Amino acid sequence: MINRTKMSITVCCLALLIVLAGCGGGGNNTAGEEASQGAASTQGAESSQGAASSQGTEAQVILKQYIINNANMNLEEINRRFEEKYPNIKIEYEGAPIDQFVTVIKTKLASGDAPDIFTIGAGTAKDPFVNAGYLLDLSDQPWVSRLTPGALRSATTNGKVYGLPRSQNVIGVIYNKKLFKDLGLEVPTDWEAFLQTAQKLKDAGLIPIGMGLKDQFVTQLVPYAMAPSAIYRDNIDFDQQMAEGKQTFVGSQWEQMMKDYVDLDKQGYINKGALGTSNDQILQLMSAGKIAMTVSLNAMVPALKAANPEADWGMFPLPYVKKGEPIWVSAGPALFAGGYSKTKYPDEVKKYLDFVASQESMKLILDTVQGFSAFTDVTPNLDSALMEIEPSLKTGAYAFLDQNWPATVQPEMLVGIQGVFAGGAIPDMLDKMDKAYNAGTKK
Amino acid sequence: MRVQRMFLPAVLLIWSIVVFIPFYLVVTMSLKSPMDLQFSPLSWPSSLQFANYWKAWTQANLGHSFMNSILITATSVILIVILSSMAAYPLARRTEKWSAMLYVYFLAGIMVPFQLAMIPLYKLLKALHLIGEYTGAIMIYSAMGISFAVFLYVSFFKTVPREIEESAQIDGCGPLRLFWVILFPLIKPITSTVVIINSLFIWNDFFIPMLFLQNKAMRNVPLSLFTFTSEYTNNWMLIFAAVVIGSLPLILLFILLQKHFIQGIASGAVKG
Amino acid sequence: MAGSICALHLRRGSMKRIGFDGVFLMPAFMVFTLFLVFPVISSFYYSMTDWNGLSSSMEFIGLDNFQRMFQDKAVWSGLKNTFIIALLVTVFQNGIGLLLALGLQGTGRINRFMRVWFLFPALLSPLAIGYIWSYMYNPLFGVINSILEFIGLSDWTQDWLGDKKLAIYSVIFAIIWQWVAFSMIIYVAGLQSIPRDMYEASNIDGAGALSRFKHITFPLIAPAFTVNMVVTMIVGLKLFDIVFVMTNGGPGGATENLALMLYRQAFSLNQMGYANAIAILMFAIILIFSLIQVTLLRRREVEY
Repeated sequence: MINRTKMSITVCCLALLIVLAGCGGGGNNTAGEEASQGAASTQGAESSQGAASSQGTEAQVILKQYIINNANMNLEEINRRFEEKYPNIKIEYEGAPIDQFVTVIKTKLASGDAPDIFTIGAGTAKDPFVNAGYLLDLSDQPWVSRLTPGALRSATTNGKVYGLPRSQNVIGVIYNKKLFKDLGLEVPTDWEAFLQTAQKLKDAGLIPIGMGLKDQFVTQLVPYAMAPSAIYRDNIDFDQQMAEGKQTFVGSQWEQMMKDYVDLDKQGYINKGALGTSNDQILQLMSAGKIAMTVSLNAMVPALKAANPEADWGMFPLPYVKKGEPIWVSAGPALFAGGYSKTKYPDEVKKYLDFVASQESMKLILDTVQGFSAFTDVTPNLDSALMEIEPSLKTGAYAFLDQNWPATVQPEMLVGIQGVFAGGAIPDMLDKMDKAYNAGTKK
Repeated sequence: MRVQRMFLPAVLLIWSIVVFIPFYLVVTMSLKSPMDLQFSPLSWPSSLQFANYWKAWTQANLGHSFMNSILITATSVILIVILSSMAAYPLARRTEKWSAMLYVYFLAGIMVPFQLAMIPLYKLLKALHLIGEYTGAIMIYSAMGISFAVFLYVSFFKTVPREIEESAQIDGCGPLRLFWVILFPLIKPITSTVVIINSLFIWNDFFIPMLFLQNKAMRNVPLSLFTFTSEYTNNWMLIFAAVVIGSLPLILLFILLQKHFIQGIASGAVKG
Repeated sequence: MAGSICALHLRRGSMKRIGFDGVFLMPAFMVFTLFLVFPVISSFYYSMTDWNGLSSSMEFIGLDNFQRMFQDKAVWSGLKNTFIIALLVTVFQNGIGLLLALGLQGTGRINRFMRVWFLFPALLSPLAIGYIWSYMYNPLFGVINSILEFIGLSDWTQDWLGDKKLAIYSVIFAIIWQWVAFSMIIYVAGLQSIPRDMYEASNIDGAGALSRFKHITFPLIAPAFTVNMVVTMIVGLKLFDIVFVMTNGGPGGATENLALMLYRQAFSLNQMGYANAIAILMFAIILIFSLIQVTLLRRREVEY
């Protein structure tokens, strides 16, 4: 017994020693790292002031990069190429889970310790960061002139460019071509036809439309796809009118849009129990051929392809129009990243973003994420499904709605749509969105 | 009488099933091929893909994450045990007002909503040069674990009869010796509980390493799981393979604790 | 008084005599205060500002956030959800946990195996738990509905996470599933600290199982009971992870508790000041409830 107790004391003491040693060691490490970083920064400053010709290898600059996890963006390859081209700059890439990204980046920014390059949201999502002075002004960068007008708009706040766009994302109806062919169905081009198609699919024992409404981001996809045709095609200034307080969600086309959206569920066109089903599960059911269509983003296509390489997918714009009317598409740019305004190495950050904006890098990114180009001079190799919807983009497109709203509206809408599907009233939901809009514009 | 005797085994059986079904899902998903997962998410895999485990291990660099997880978890847990058991002892024995107040002070630590303390905490660690240091994460975990451990230790120290200490003191035993040699072994079951609960929490947490270590080389196991996630889809087969691998050290720890600590008590150490 | 019982003997006596309470308490006190209490208290200051969590400037607005909080309908519904979760988790996690502990208090191989087995759910990361339970609860092909259909109870099938009324109970069940072993091991530790002779004596008396539990076992595991009740309640009141991964507060806010709400206010709605006001409300509620609980339960303990 005594032996055992002696032993446990020894163990405890040892443990304590390890802890202390660990602390000491850790401390030394910091000091070392900081010293070397400090040295690097002064050297970096010297070499940029003087000629860059001498001792390029010694002036190592480390750029910290913090990007939302996009497992398939090929970012590591791009960073490798960049480091090859600029041996004195090293990119320290760290991916972040999407759910926690905002929390982490805000904490770091508020504590004055942010990475040099990090993901930012498009449109108004980046405004609070801009207003707090955290983003590097990129307006003078050469790639700005190559952007498509839509991409430029979403990268801009108060007339200045703060982010490098990555791709143009599109919301549309992704469908199983084989199922359509088997049942002799055509791609519908108006709402009436769309509903008939859904009915025929239902009669054939299939789930016509799969929606994983348990995941909040999915709930918005249908109204986003409806709105360009329902609202913006005829009144492009709707958002402007909202901002001026001349327009509200209540009493607008939103009421009919939401009603038609919920009707899809009431008619049994959307999978039963949509609120309890996740997007992942929709993807699985769809690639297994049990669901014929889903309203989703272009990124769903490569995911479906990965899940079932043998199936044949197509994508068409959600035809929320009367017969013969032109269909507008919901297309919103996603930003790659912005730079930290207080970075020690603004020039290197710009150099890096410029490298990513190059035709070669952009094509690599777009080919992997299967997104449309945000640059006028980059043409990615897209899947046949995406090529199918591409012409419609030229008919007319409007950005994702939240990109023009105060940041407060979207969270309220996501909760509200779930609430409506759970039996809530549509006017209540729209009223809350109006209130959120007003609360967001106050400051 | 018979009903009474059957009651507990029935509860055990039902709960075993409740635990089994999700367990079955975890294991089968970790062994599926992508097609399998699409077409029959709930059934037994049509062919067992043990390669998933190898892929998970190499792609997420799990070996390295394991070492980090072990380092962080072990040091934090040891610190929690040492600091809390010592602090709990006077709190359990003294009857003065300060003792009660300190007790509530420690207890309040379990109650605070921690999510919003992140910004001041980050600033503090930055000031102490502990960002990107294991020590920083370990200190946070220790501070978070102390509350509950003190609470647990105080409750159980009170059940230890005072006579044990009094006789030891008469023998001329100093307080530190008295504590570590005589008292600490008496509360082994509690220590093992503290170890289990805190290792569970620390082993599975990814938020603190994500925020405060922020370095690929310092990733722990749960943070490595995110290698297999992306914006729209996740590679669930590999995630679950990694989940299974990641839970093995804890299972091992539990088995060891069960064997050595709890058995030690049952063999009569408590009779003192 | 404290130091007088026994002073500190150090062999290499370079240290002065210190009250040993201080030596025992100081390290824990310092780590705890510096790394937990201090950051939390400093974040409380934000509750009296209009800070958005990002900008370098903020305005002091006194108690406006608190005033707004009491008029906010969402806060009341969050409060209600918080209480439902805490109450049911406390009752069932302790009830089931105690039963499991009573069944498994022995030290045999099977008992040991089963205790580890029941801990399995607690080993999983939240990411995995969210995924597994979405399969358990899925309305189209989920495990639970499939089982119900298989045993001929298809009327009982539900949209477990999509139904506004049901979702919170589905989440609560998953919480208990994950953490019941946590209560179990604390009860096991309590049961194993009961001196054998107590049990043996009562066995000889031939007391019935129920009355033995009531009169002998239960009073003796009172410390474990206190710890468990208080901790499960506190954890239930501030639960975040599992709700976040299972429903993220949905459908339509039906499962949103205060912890989720303050997180959303702070980080997606840019209302750091307001979020901190909610945090203080939550802390106050937890503090009051646990003090009441500790006082009541402690009184019981002293009796025996």
